[in-house]
Amino acid sequence: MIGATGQSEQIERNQRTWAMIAVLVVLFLALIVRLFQLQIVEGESLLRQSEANRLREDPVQAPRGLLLDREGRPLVQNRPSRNMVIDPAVVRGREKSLVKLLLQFEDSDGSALFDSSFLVRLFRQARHTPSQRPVLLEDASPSEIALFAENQYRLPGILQEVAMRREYPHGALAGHLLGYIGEIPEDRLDSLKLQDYRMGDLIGQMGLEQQYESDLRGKDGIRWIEVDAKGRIVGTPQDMPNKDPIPGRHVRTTIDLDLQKIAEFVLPDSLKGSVVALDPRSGEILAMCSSPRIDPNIFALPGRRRAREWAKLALDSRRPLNNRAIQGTYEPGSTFKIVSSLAGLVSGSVSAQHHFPVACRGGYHFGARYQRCWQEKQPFHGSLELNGALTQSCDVYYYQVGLQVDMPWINKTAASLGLGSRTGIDLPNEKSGLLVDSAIHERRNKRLGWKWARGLILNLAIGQGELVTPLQLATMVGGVADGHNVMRPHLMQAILEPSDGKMVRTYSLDTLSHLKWSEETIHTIHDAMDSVINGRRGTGRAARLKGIRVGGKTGSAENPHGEKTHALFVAAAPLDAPEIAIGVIVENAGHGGSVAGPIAGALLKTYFKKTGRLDPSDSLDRRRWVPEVAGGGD
Amino acid sequence: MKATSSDQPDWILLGAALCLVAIGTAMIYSASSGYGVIRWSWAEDRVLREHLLRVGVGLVFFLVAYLIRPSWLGTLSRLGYWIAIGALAFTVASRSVGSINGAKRWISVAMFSLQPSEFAKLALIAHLAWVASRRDARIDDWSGLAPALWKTALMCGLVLLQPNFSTATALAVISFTILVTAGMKLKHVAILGGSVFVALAGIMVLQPYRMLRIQAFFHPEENALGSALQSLQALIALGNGGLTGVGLGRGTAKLLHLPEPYTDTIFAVLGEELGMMGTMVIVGLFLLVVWRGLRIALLSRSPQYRLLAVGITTALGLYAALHAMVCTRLIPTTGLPMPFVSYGGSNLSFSMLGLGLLLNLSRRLSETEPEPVFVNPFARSVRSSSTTTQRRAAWN
Repeated sequence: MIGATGQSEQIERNQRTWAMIAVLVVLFLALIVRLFQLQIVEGESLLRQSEANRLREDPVQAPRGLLLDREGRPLVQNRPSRNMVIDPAVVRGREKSLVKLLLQFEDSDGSALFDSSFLVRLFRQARHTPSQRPVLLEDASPSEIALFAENQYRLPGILQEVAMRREYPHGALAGHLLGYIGEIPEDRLDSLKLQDYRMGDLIGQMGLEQQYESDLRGKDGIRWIEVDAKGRIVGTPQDMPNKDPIPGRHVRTTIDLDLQKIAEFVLPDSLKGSVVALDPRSGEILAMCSSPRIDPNIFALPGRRRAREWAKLALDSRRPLNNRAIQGTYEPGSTFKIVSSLAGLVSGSVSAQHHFPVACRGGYHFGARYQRCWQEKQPFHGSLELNGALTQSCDVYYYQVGLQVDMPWINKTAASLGLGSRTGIDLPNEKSGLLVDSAIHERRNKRLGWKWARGLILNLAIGQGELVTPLQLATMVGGVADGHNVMRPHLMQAILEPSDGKMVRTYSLDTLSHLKWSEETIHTIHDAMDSVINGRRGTGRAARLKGIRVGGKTGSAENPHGEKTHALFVAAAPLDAPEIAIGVIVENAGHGGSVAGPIAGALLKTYFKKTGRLDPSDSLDRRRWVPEVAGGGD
Repeated sequence: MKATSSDQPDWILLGAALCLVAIGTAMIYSASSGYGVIRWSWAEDRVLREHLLRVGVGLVFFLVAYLIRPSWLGTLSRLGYWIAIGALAFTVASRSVGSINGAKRWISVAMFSLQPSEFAKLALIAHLAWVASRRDARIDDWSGLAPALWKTALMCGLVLLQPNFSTATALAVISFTILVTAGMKLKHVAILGGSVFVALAGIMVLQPYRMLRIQAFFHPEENALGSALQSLQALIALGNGGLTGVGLGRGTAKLLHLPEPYTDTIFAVLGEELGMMGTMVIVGLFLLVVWRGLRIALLSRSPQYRLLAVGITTALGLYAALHAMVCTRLIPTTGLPMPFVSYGGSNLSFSMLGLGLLLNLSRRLSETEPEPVFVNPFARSVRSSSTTTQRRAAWN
């Protein structure tokens, strides 16, 4: 039946089957050798190791690193707290009586401390995992501790345990940028397990707590405990390789606590908005505040109260969870005229003395359209040169700048100042903002079928249509004031060793872009920004200082969210060698000069008083903080 | 050729497998009673009772496989293959599937939860044996290899998506074994082996936690709180057992230190309680199973039977070897059960199915062709039935 070739094939295939047998036999032989090695040769030494089988490791919490301000004052710290926990071995069999007793416990305002479903769940957990001590009461108050102490004899198996809790000593101050810590969300647990995170561990979930998680988090230690076969803790053996916890490293931030306090004070919770102050020489953020605020302390509250406070925040229509400084995107309004001016100067199509053909008579005809200037009535702006146009924020002038230099130059200039893309600050979830050109406009409005038209340049040239964050505004004005470099803004100054305060690493400064402007361009724009603040007709007079040359620009951006315009203000000082640059946005608050200007002014005053260049007696009246109304203009 | 069920079934093979099941039952009871009581406050014999129920189900599977006509296997395996693909795709896609340890590997049907990858293993073996043994199958040629390869790749891919890396690897190895036995050119083996290696390296890069697992394997001490501790505990248990073991039921590692003591590390529990003598008995029994299984392959005259026997035997032997190697830290930790011994309905059922098939084949050593399902009264010779096979193959 099988031919000669068939037979040789058959033989070959049988050879292959024999090869399979050989492979499997080799596998098993290796196994036998290994078993002999493990069970006979190394048996003794492994037997000694198996003594450890009766021992178990217990993790010891490592203190989390602190967040410090630039002078080393703590912004976030740890405090010891007391938890009431259950010892499963002792409570076993006594659950019913304990639940009955615990249900009678009341807190100071007379409501029950525990509910029965919680207690039942807890005791069930204790029964199932006798090796862990479930927490009955987190962060017990002195009165609660007293209550438990009084009833101690009736509460066998309920113990006190000391644990570290995160504390934000300044409350809501800089809450957004500090962030908070919370239990690892379940969906991230799998990926984090490999970094030695366990269920129930706390992890940074916003702001710097999240950004520098790997530095702030220490390494938990190990304490060996002796357990019996049922997993109950019997004792602590001697001479075990216990590992001490390694505390997390401190992060020294660039924040100046004094300046931050003032920023928080002048932008009260009743206003929505954000203030950013930074040092344009290095990009260090001196103060950053977003309103309405969150108080990270609520995330350290025990269980139910935390959930309640969290729900309040999450459901608030004012969206307090947003860090507006990096996540709020706003139309820059007239503050963008600095960029338009620079685009004109840098492209060479506008000089400082240039007058455009159309003088401002309250508006500008473009084709069939008539675009108004904000100053529609007498006295008109008339024919202006650049300095006057920026000082009085004349829209008609900038319509013509836009048409003359066109969007590529404007966007190029804006991008070189850090607008339209993320600054790369060391905070999570920064927004990039938006610069508009024909392609982007058509892509964004594809569904509506809108096409690019030259008339749109008019709006874009006066800052209507772009989107910026307050941080980008501060970066931008800092770069303009410096005139040479735009530095990447950042919050970390140094990572410190907790034991001796030695620096582990420092932030390496990074340049976002080099500005290749002529000295004449720099001079012209600085003069114009100077006039905005100090000029007779300037719109930003609220931020002027005695003896220090401040430069800036106001803005009032129309928006669909309310009657009033968003108030914007950018400023930097001293103009030729800037040390501080400020961006302010207050939502639906009115004009930039009258609302945002004084906020920037207060910060500038504080900064220069602190550095000794301003008379300290001229103090900000903290009790009667009323924004002074100055310069009615846009 | 007429079927002559003249050969005797392989009683030695059956005896070895039943010994393994018996030892497994004892070990499962020993490993689960204390653990279940401490961990979950279960009744002492809860796992044992469930296991015995599964042994019963497994015996039914065994009888079915023993009595089935091998000539049906072609059709059945094709059907089974696509059902397995469907079930795997369902576990990947469905949200209603129970997720254990983050891996979706179970389908719950009524009160039983079914692990499709176990079913897939057998379906793939049977199907490949049929595909590769057809007369028109040119396994020494790329065009002939192609159907076998893409079917293996599809199944391995779905198992990988479960995600179940170890089972996918085992499946690939088993398919290779079948194809090599069927006459695949060594050149092709080298090319395919190389590309699979590259693909594995790619997966390691894309899913970094696998890399970490392997790193943990080489540096167990640094990761003493994590998964490497598990395998160290297995070593400690084995060493504790020594030559004669600490005695049945007296092991301590199973209590809280070993993960899943009655499934994934049952070999270590056995090593602790019964010592080297116990582990040698297990290894010897599996060697017996492998020998008897491959003997059936060698003696079978029908190519399909030979490939089927090779596939099933390799699967049983490979799983047993891998399980033991995990417990002895020869390879990194994965969750593979030990056939016949570990607790787990799906694994036991399909091990018993495979055993039934092997025994079934062992009494048909002298058959050259599976007898046709419907005998054509007008056909003059065996030739005509093989044309039917070819025609069927044409639209497959």
